[in-house]
Amino acid sequence: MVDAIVLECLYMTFGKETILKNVNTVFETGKIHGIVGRNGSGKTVLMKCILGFLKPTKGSVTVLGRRIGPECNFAPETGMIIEAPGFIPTESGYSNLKWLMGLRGKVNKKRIEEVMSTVGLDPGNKKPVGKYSLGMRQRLGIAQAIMERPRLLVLDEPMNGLDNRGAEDMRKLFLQLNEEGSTILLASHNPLDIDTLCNTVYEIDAGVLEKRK
Amino acid sequence: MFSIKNVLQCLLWNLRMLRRNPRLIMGLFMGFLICFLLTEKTISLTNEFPTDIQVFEPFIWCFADSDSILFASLALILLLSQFPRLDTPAAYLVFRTNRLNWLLGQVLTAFVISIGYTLFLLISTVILTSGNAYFENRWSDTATLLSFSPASFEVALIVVRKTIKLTTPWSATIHIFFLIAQYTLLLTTLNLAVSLRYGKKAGMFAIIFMSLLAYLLTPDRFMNWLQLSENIRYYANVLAAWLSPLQQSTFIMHNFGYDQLPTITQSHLIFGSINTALTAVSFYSVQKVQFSFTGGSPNG
Repeated sequence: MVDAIVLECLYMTFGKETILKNVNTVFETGKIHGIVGRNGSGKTVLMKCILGFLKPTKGSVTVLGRRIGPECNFAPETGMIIEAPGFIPTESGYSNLKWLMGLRGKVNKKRIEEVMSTVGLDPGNKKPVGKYSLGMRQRLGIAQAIMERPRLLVLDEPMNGLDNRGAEDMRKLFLQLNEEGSTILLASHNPLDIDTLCNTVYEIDAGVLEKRK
Repeated sequence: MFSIKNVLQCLLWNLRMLRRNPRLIMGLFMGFLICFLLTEKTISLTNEFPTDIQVFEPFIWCFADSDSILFASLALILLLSQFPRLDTPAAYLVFRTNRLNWLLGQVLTAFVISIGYTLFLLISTVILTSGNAYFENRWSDTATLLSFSPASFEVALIVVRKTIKLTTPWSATIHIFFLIAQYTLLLTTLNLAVSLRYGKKAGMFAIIFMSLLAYLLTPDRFMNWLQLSENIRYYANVLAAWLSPLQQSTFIMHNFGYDQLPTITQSHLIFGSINTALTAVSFYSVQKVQFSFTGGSPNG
């Protein structure tokens, strides 16, 4: 089976500052991989490189067998949340998801309703996203990440803004998605998320990634 | 992979993001206000003469002048501050297609904004025209009277004479419309190219700089800088007409067959070349463009 993510000799430099230093790691398919590290240690930059939003200074990123850059712009068959989710503020949550789903093929209204219910949002709610609470917006962010049934999920602090019960629901959801075959790469500051969910844990410190578990 | 469906969806998504946007509403309000202030003089003149007016004449008399185009383009800056989107919603969009489709969507949006805004100016002047307007392709008696009377100088409608002698109302409207659209397209593509290469703030700075340049490169300033006397003002006109993008978009600063000013076709070719070069810069820059993942502004 092809590995979910392969990082080879990855370097990322902004000006004189090196954010990622010689990252060589393989994230196996079918597992939940956790990344921990202090603020500014390079977690988000690493995830942006994996997704294709940042072009590494040196090295290569391969996601689900396809090299980012030469073979595709962005990680294929992947869902993602990076930092704070954002949507068209004047549209409802349902309408936002419909727009996004339309870009990857035919809109499946039933799937949108299903995924919104799964994350605890009412698909019939006409309230514009601009009036959503932080937690509701986060739930919608998770819905957009999972709605196309991606093989890989890259989640940077997905529990931000969620209350304890919401976070617990999302943990259950991620475990269920993993059981159904999705590989998950998760960055979190919450030790509970990492301990409960992750099969492997990596620590990033000053741009150096090391396996901890 | 190129997908026309995705390109059109990016365009529609951009337009959707502008819906109920306070900056869009403010920009259009300012555009309408500028049209109102500019047409007021023309309309009050038509009331003085007991004649009717061709429906596009206020647009022609107002926007055949470079200052008016400059004022109208300043209102456009408010609109352009929302374009291109490089925030989280845009990142979700580009992630589901690819950079090429997303960029083509932005280029298409630039066209729609430019044509749309110019159309808005045209419609605004038509709405503001008094009720006794007609659509027929002939100059009104008001225009004829004005063009051959000293009043034209007093009311700064000197433009009337050259225009009325050489064109018809419909033809002048079409020429002026597309010249303004070219100038607004220049501002839009400049904003797009610089924003993708150096970031959003740089994009805004570039269009403000372009507007400042347009404000400075006028025949009067060339006369001052080169210390030309009034009897050779023509040379200052020629210099400004060729060097300033704003003058290139000004109808009366063109050669209608007997001088050294650029022809309208030449101006379109110059605008076309610059816009193509700026679009090429956008294509070059799009692979490295960075999206901000801070969630997007509450106003969209």
